[in-house]
Amino acid sequence: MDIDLVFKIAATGIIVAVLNQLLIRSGREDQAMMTTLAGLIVVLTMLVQQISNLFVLIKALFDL
Amino acid sequence: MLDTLGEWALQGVKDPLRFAAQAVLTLSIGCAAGLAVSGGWRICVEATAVLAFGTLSLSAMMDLTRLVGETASECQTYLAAFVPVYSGIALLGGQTTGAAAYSGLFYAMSGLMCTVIQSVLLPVLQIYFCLSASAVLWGGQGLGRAAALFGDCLKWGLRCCGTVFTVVLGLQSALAGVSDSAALRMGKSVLSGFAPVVGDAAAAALSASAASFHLLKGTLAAAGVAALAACFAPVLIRCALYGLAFRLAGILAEGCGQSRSGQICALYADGAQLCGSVLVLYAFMVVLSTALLLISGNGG
Amino acid sequence: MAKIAVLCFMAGALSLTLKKDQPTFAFLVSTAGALILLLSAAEQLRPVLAFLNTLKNYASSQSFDCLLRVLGIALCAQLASDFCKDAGMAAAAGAAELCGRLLALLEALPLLQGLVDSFLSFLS
Repeated sequence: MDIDLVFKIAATGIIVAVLNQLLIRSGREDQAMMTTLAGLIVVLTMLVQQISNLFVLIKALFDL
Repeated sequence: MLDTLGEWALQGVKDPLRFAAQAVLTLSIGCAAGLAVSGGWRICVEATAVLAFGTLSLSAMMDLTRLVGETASECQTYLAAFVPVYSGIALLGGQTTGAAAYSGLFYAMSGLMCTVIQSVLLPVLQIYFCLSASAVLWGGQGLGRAAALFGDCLKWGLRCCGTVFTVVLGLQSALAGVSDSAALRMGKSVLSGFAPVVGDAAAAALSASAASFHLLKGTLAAAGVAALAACFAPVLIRCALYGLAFRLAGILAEGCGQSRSGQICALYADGAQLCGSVLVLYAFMVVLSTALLLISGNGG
Repeated sequence: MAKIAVLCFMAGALSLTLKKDQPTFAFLVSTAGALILLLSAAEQLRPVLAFLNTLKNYASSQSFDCLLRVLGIALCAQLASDFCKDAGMAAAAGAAELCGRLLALLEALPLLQGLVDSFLSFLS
């Protein structure tokens, strides 16, 4: 069981939240937006792999 | 002798065993599915499980009724060849009345019985199976009552045939002198228990003709009766095993909490036993009429 | 089982931490938690289904396969609907559920067809 994934995503989320706040406070909102997007893309790549694993497994198990 | 018994057992056991395995699989998946999903999906999955089990049972029973009909007509074809030969031999032996009775009355009776089975009893049985499955799948009082009505019709029809059968055999009152042995009593109680409705009639006929069986050894009639028994025995074993399989599946279904599949099992177990009764009736009619000819033919 | 409970607890805590500032990431954390749980459940189901497959070779039937597929569709649809609800999209959740039901009905249709064919062949 791959618990690390949750921690990785949470860590990325926390980093992005902190950077977001810093950049907004220093008035660079567009860069804040881009940081958020970057973090989202990183996390999504991690998640999509796992989602595809799950659905391939379900397809194999249930013969769908 | 044991070889032939083993062969009959094997032929009769294969199909019910496979059906039992499939039923257990379907019921366990249904149970697991009911546990795994929740909410609105549970109804959906349960309905599919009942549908799957109903399809399985209906196709098995379809095959069984078709097999019973084929056995009856196979037997009738065999009799069409056997009866003239045997009554011809009896005639040459000087037993004119016996031969006439056999080739006339009993052959006509067995022909009539075969026709009644194929055109009345078996279709009613099939309609009973269809209606029970529909009643459980789609609910509704009307369908359930219609299925019960057909079941009652069938039992009434069997009772009629059983009565006619004992009356016709009762015409041969020369069968007095029954030696009531322990084996005979056991056979009677097994019959009455096993074949509902007709068991009593068949058991009475069995005891009435017990005396004739030891006379059958070494005669042409013995060979004929043995061939007929070989025709009937696997199918009877199959009916009994299907009934047993349905009862066990019913227990499993009720235990898993699938009450609708359990209802199908109960209804179909009764149906399988009725199939067996139909065949028992016909088998006894045919086998005992042959035995009776022998008795009347031997100057009894 | 203890690992599962701990995972749920951690995922919940982290998700709540992120919910105010970055609700997207909170949703992604809860999704990841759900995925990991399901993956471990499916892995544990694998020997059971392998056993059922060996039984299937002995006594296979169309109805059993159909039932298994409907179960799979039900699980997937429930998962999709729960993801939507987590993200706050109630309409999408309803639509996913409807889609799943329709697919399950389509799957069960051959079974129904077979049953009706049996009836018709009996009664004719």
